[in-house]
Amino acid sequence: MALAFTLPDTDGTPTPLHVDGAPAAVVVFTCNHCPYALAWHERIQDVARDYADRGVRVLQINANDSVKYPRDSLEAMKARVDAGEFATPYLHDESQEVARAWDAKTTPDVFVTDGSGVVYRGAPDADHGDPSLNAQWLRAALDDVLAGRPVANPETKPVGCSIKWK
Amino acid sequence: MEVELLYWDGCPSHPAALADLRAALGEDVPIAVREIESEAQAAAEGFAGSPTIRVDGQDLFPIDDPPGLTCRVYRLADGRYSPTPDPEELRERLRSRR
Repeated sequence: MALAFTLPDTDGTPTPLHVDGAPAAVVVFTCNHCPYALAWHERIQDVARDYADRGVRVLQINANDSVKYPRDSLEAMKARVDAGEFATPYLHDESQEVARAWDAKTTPDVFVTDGSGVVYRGAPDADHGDPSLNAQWLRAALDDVLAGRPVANPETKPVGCSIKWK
Repeated sequence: MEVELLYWDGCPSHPAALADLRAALGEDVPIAVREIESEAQAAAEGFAGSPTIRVDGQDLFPIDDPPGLTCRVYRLADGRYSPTPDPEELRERLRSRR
C-alpha cells in the first residue's frame, strides 16, 4: 500500500489518499512558483478530468516552505483554486511530512498508486515544453492499472524545481 | 557587449538557457556563466531567480521579484509558462542591445 495520508485542502477539509472503491490515485507534488509545475499544470488537470469517470483520484499537494517562498502560501493556493485552476483538490502539506514520507524531489513529482502501492513515479511526460505530449507517461501508467496490467514503464526521472524544504 | 548567465543549481533550466543564448549570439560572443550559491549571494547580486541573463550588467528580462534562490518563470510568445525565455524574444532583446 502507498503511504497513507490525510491533508487539508485549501478550505481546510481533510482529504485522504485512500477512498473505498477507487482503482487508482495520482499524487502530484506541485506548487505555485515553479515554471515546470506551471508548464505541466494544464496537462495534469486534463488527466484528472479525463479519468474521473473511471474512479481515478488526483490529489495535488503543495509542500513548499512558504516562509522562504511566499508564492507558495496557503493564501496563494486558495487564490488559484478560486480562479478555477484546479480540477481536483489542492492539498497543503505544511509540515512537509507527506512529501518527506513519499520522498518527493521536485515540482512536479508524479506518483500513481493502486491497491498494491506506488506503481509509477516520475514526470508526466518527456517534455514540459510540449503540450502535445499530453502527460502520456502518466496516462500510460493509469491505462495499465485500469486494465489490470503491470505498469510497463514504472519509473521516469522527475523534472522540475526542487521541493523547498524548511 | 558583456553577456552573463547567472544560475542556481537547484533549478535545472540553465543548460537549456545557455544553449538558447549561445544559439542567439553565435560562437564569437563570450558568455560569462556564474553560479549563485547562497541567499546572501542572491541578495548581493539582485538575483531574482534562475536563469537570469544580463547584458552589460542589466537584466535582459527585468522583473520586480525579490532576490532569492528560485526558478524564474518566463512566458513564451503564446502565453505558456516556461523555465527559460522565449528563444525568439531572447534574440530580439539581444539584437536591440547590440
